[in-house]
Amino acid sequence: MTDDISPVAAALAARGRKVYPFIVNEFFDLGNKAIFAIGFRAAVKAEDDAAIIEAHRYAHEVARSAGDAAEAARKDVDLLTDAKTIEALWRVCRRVDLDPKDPTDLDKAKETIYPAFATPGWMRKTLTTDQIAVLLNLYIEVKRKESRGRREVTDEHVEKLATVCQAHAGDDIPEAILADYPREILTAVVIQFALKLADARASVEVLLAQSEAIATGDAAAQSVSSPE
Amino acid sequence: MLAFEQPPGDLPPARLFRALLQRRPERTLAYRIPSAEDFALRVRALRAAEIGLLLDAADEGVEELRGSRVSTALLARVLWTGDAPTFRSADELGGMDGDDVGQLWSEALQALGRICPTYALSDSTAWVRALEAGAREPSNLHDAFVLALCVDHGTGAVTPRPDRYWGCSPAELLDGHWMIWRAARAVYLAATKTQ
Repeated sequence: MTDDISPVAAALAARGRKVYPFIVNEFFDLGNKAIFAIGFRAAVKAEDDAAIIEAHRYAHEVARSAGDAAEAARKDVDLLTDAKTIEALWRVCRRVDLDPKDPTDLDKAKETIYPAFATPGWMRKTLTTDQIAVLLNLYIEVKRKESRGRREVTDEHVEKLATVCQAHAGDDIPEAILADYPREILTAVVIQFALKLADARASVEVLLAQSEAIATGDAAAQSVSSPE
Repeated sequence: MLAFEQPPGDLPPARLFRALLQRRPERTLAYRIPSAEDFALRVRALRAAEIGLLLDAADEGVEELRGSRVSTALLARVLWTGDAPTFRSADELGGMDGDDVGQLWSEALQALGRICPTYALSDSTAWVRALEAGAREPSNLHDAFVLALCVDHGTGAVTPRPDRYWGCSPAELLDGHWMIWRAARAVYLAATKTQ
């Protein structure tokens, strides 16, 4: 531990970061030198932020050199999104050393300090869209593994979220809150909302049936529709 | 900054009053940072100008990361462990998982919402009303009256001097201190008027 950083930062630095190896040789046959396996680790906040900054820098450079198309390039959301993806993947994809006797035994794979690819620029020039998509899917899988159990979607959480979204339906507060949610958590929240909506609709139907039965004096219907 | 708007509905007014009566109100977080679970965390209220400075500084740089800069800068300022700031700079939060920073930010905002009302971000009328209810509680009356009597009397004028209660420079007061002084003063004036 060093005095230059806080004890909490030292604990974070000492924790180690798990690298998840995947066999990818079916997808990465680069110039007859296939990449057999790539390790992925979950990005830390500084890497996420650095990827965004570098992506903006790249998109700015492209726009500057685009001549007549500079304005269109500056407004092109896809250009920036693709740049962010590549920058992020370059930071999380790590070279792994495999057991020479059995390279398919990923339990024996050892992480290295090196990135799997030379630079983000190299990735842009060399990898196909499909190869980038493979990397992205594997990284999403790693994020899912790492985030399991970190954010549980509790009923209380969903209720609070519903209250805030309803109260601020006309402004950008729901957008600001939900922007931080990973896709799988958003999916869980939407499912919870759907279940609550179905419950509410069912309750309304029961109440309507009861009220109709009371109005018509139908005792049998009242007893049937009543949970008691 | 949603959490600052209204006084917390689930905190009894008497406890809310006592929470804001601290020199620098603090609240302990139940949340622990993954991989640093041994370190207990507290949030400490900031002055409105301190929050404003952080927001101003966050304006520089890539616009998309403004929210990220606000959250990490504020977390680095409000979080305390033992008698020292938990992080020495916002950069240290860069070593955390992004989702964990989001969770920590959410927990810290919730806690700040209980101890750090500001005139810029809060419904101060609602806060003062809640604090008045807290000041009327018998357990708080002594402090409420002592605080209410922190004034200078001039010719036809009463100048608030809440700084005397906390023994600090007026410049060090929090917005919450002004709100709690106004609440205490209102309760004191109402009580002495009826006697």
